[in-house]
Amino acid sequence: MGREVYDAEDRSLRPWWDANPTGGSRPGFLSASLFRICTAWIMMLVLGSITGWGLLVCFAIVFVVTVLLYWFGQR
Amino acid sequence: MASLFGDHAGVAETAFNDPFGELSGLVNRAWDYATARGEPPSLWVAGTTLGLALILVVPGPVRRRGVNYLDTLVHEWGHAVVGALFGHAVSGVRLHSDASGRTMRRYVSNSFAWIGSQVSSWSGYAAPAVMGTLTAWLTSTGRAITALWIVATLALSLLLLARTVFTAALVLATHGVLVALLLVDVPDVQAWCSALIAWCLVLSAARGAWLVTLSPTGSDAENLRDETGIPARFWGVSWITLTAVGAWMTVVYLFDLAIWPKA
Repeated sequence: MGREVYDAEDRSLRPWWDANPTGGSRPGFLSASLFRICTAWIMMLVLGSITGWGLLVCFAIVFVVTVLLYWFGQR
Repeated sequence: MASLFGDHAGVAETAFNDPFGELSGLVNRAWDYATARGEPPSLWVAGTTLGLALILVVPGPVRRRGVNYLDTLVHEWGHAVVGALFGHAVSGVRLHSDASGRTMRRYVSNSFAWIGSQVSSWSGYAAPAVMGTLTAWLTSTGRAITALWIVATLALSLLLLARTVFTAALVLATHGVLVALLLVDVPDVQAWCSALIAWCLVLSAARGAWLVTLSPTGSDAENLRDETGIPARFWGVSWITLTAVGAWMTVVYLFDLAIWPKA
């Protein structure tokens, strides 16, 4: 992972499931993951509404697109 | 309307035998429920909700505050979701009582993530216009439940990133109201509320774009100017253009002007 160029992480009021008392390497990982799942669900609903495609097709497309974008962002 | 949770006895029995099959069934039922289609709203609904939205959005310190909160909620969600899509670590969202907000995120130093940062900054003022137009389109095609479900999920997702009590209370209240609207079994209530949300988002997005163009100090437009070297006024005009197109599409969809293709 490269240098972090913008660090404004806010640790105040972190939910109990994301508490990081031992200083682990991925604070906030669970919240961020659940946020991504909610975002993916919204994208699936939008895609399904526009195209009329079913759940599995929408899931596959959203999954591939989001993983690719995430991968490019982390390189 | 499809039942989300189905028969309780059946759920218990299947969950014991095949928990993954039951999870799949629950997701399928949620999908069917969220994508259910009904009747599109009448012109009377479109006109009345437009009037209500104008009353709520046009200046007035008390009346306007509620719509401003919804606008800010969607604005910050726009920053967060685009940042997350580009691989940024979104570490928190704060909404303030004066209807301003802030999204905290970090990203690694590659060009793709830098572009994502600029898109994320730009998407804040774009998000209410896009979400409002999308809500209008969904409502006009009889998918008011889908529209409300999307906004409810949006609020729930921000609850995960809320880093102040006020933020958590605001997104929880928004989510609660939307879930209550989804559960209410009164004809057309979802279409009314969905149309009202669409108008409020589009009108407040237009107001926000106009104000930030007139006075970009300390705004996303100024951040974008500092990062890209392109004048802040350019970004303001881009938001005005987007919201104007969104407002026009919303009028076309909700008043069924039949000059724009509808799915």
